[in-house]
Amino acid sequence: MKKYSLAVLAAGILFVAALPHFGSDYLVGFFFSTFIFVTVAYGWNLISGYTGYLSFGQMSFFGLGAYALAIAVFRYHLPWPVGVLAGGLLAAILAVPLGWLMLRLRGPYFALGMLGFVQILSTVSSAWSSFTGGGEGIYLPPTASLRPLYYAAAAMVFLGIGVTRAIERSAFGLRLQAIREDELAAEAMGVETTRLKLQAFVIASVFPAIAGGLYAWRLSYIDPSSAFPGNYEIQSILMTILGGAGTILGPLVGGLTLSVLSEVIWARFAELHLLLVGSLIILVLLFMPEGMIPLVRRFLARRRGRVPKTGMQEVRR
Amino acid sequence: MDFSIFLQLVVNGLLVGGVYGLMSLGINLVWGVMGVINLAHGDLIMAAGFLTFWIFTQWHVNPLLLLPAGMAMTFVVGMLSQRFLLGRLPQDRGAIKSSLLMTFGISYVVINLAQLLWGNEFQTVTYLAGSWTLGGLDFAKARTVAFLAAGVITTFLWLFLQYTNQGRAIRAVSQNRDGASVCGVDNGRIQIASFALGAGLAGAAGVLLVMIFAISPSMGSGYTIRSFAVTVIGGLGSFPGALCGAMILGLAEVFTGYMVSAQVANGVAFILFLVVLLVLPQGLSGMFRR
Amino acid sequence: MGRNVRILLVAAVALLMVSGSAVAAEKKPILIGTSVSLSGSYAASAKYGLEGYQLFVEQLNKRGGLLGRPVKLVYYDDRSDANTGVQLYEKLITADKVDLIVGPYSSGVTSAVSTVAEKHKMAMIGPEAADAKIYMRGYKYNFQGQTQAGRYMLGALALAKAHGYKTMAMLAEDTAFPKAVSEEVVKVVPEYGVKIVFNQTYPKGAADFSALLTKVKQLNPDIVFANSYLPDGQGIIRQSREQGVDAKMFAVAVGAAEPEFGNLGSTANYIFGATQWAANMKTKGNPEFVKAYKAMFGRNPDYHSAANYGAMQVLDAAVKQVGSLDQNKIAAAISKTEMDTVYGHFKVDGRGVQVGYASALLQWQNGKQVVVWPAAVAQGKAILPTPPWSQRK
Repeated sequence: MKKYSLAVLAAGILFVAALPHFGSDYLVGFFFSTFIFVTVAYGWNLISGYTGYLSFGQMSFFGLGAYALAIAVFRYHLPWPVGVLAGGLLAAILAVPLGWLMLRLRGPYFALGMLGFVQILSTVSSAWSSFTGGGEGIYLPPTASLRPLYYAAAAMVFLGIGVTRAIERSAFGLRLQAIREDELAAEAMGVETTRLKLQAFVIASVFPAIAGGLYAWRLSYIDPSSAFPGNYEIQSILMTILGGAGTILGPLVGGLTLSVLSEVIWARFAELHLLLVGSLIILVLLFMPEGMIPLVRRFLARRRGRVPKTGMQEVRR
Repeated sequence: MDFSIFLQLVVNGLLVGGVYGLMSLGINLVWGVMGVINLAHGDLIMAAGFLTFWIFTQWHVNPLLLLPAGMAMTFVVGMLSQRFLLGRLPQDRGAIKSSLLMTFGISYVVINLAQLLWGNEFQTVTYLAGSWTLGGLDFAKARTVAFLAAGVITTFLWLFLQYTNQGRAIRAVSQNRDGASVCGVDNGRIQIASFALGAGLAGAAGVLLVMIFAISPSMGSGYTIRSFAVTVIGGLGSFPGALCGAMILGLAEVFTGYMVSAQVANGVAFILFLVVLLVLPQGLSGMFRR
Repeated sequence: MGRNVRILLVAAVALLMVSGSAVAAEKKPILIGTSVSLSGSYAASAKYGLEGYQLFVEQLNKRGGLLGRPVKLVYYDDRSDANTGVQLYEKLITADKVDLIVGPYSSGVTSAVSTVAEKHKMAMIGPEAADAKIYMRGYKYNFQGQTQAGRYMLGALALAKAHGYKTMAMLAEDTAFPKAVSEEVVKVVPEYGVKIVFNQTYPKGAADFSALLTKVKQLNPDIVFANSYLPDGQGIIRQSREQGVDAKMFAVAVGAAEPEFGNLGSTANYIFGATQWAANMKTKGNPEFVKAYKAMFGRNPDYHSAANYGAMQVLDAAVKQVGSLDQNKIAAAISKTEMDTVYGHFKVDGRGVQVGYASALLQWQNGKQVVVWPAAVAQGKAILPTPPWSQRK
């Protein structure tokens, strides 16, 4: 089994590395934006899939990363990778006090609280026009080459897989899942919920921030509505639940599936895009609430005549 | 600040606040009874607004007469959503999350249907131009009428919840679901009724809103968050709290718009909402209950 | 796990096929790509622009096309959103492999999209980008096809000066074009003897202007300028009436030029609006353009239709002059082009800023739009001052 997954990983890396050499610009662009979504989805998966805190506010870090890049490049003439990393760092720093405040809230309060926070950041970027360019936004020099961006985004996806895998197998990850299943019980058993949740929240904030920086550099334009895109939030959440929230490969599988689907849909039925995305959310929740990965896993196990390995997902039922 | 200006701003804030109050009642009710936030709430407001706009431009019907039509449309959408979608979700620990996501899916569907039916542009109903002047203060006609209509609907809702069997059953479920069930209340039916009622209230708010402001299909989520903010500010499940929260939000927006800037006024709902959420998790009404 | 790889491969192969299928028959059409704000706050105006493009392409094909090939317009909805516009132009250029591009609606979207055109070295005329700053960034492939923002309110200012109005309040959406208009007005008002007593912006999508207008009312200015698009322009005028803002003159940058502004009913009367073109102007080929437009779309063109049509005229001339689809040569040709389009006299300076096109002013009188300035094209006289709201029906 271990050899098998190693081979898959190697094939994946090879494919991703070789793509720009045989694929068209369009294909590279397509995979770049898919990787951006998947990176955001990995962040969401950590805080919402594993820890169980449904967040509608990952875009606050995304926007922070986007503005960090734009301001670093535009105002301080720094190279773009510095801007991207600065965004990640800023997000992690901001996530500490923010998480400390917000993680006291539960359920819908947390979800909508985070959504409100996105709106506040968007208001700040719109009102503080001397620094952020306000509603006019910031124009960046056009980016010459997509390749470095593409590789950076791909690296973030592999990082997402790696971090998620490491966390799932660690004591840290098990405690997070204990919080998801029953926070009070976990606390009663001596799990330091506050500290652990905060750690997960901080790690989860870095992914969208880096994604936001890469996205802004690719877009070479940033304003409040493009820095805090609500549809990115929803797309990345849908990708995760489609693939399987709280699984290692869920965001990737869901992300690739949805990206291919929506590229085909977008081309043919642009005017039905939201309807189809909305219906897909509804259908997944009704008929496949655990996502694709657990389904596939169970199917494979049954074919091999083995009892499925029970993860926390199954325990919950 | 001139005192007459101050009074004028108070009038403007309260008039908008009245509509915010009606906007938030549906969210408050559904949340109280079912523990679900309907993220499609704002989109239902929008859809009813567009229905009103459409009928108004076709046949020049007085928009107030369209209140039943707007309410009926969203009521039916709400009923079907609860019966066939939300009601089928597994009632386990993840129920809150999946219901939130489900209403989000519904919200996308509603937005897209509205776009297909009524186009993508900003629209408004220009009903009643100008204002009445009373004691040197301007009462914008459309806003005043919307305020009064919101007041009437709110009163009817209160009477319904207070004095009818159905209403009592809804309140019972919102106070103690299991207890109500023991007393013979049909939980599933009450959930359908309250979700539909909540959606119907969104419809009423939409009809009134389009008389005052331009709306577009993609603006719904803003109303959802505003409605939620009002509910959080006022306190969940509290009628006077919700109205209070709505007035506070209306006033806060008008005063920041006047004293700071339109950009900050646009975000003040969220700032208030987060502050109250973190400082007074029970909302304003919680302060008095204690 | 094998399934993941399989999905990946299937996806990759499928996409390669999609992108490869562009190679088609011999006389394949020349594709002209653009994004249009079919939804969002710019939709009403942008639709007129799209129709201008469509009419020209239709006529061009009837005349035998371009370089002996038929022409096809490829467009997508950018939702009035700069970010979406950028992605769509990337898609048009890299996936659809369009041969030529023309600009989207609004300065904001054009400004963002201009970097895409520049990156891919595609010549682009922006017929709906009035903000001249876009063209002051040293770009080589972008050209302004719209009257500069600084000229929009000159007619209103001239009338204000003639009537001796002294004080002005100005509201603007805080995006590229409206802010550019405000900045230019601030620069020139001293020449007109006008003092600006209020100058504030509001965010895109704002609907409630009552707080800003309360402030304006308190200052009691002679003139109110709303540097807006259609929905916010309507909102500001309607709420000015509700709040009893009794200025002697109201002028709207964009919005009053659209027929939809008339939805305000009697409230629209006396309102001035900038327009860059009118059906009765004696520009080259204008009557034929108006007639053909009416026949094709069943409604009158507005100035956006004419601007987009004009941009196509210039592009068509440049391609014919070059005789190929070489973007460098086309860009060079456009920069030297000086020609009379239906929209007026097209001429750009060395940076790509439009210096030929001029602006006019209309006023709503009894539910109709009447061009009142400049005298050469005026259909009627401006009615000033605007009567107080309390005396109106």
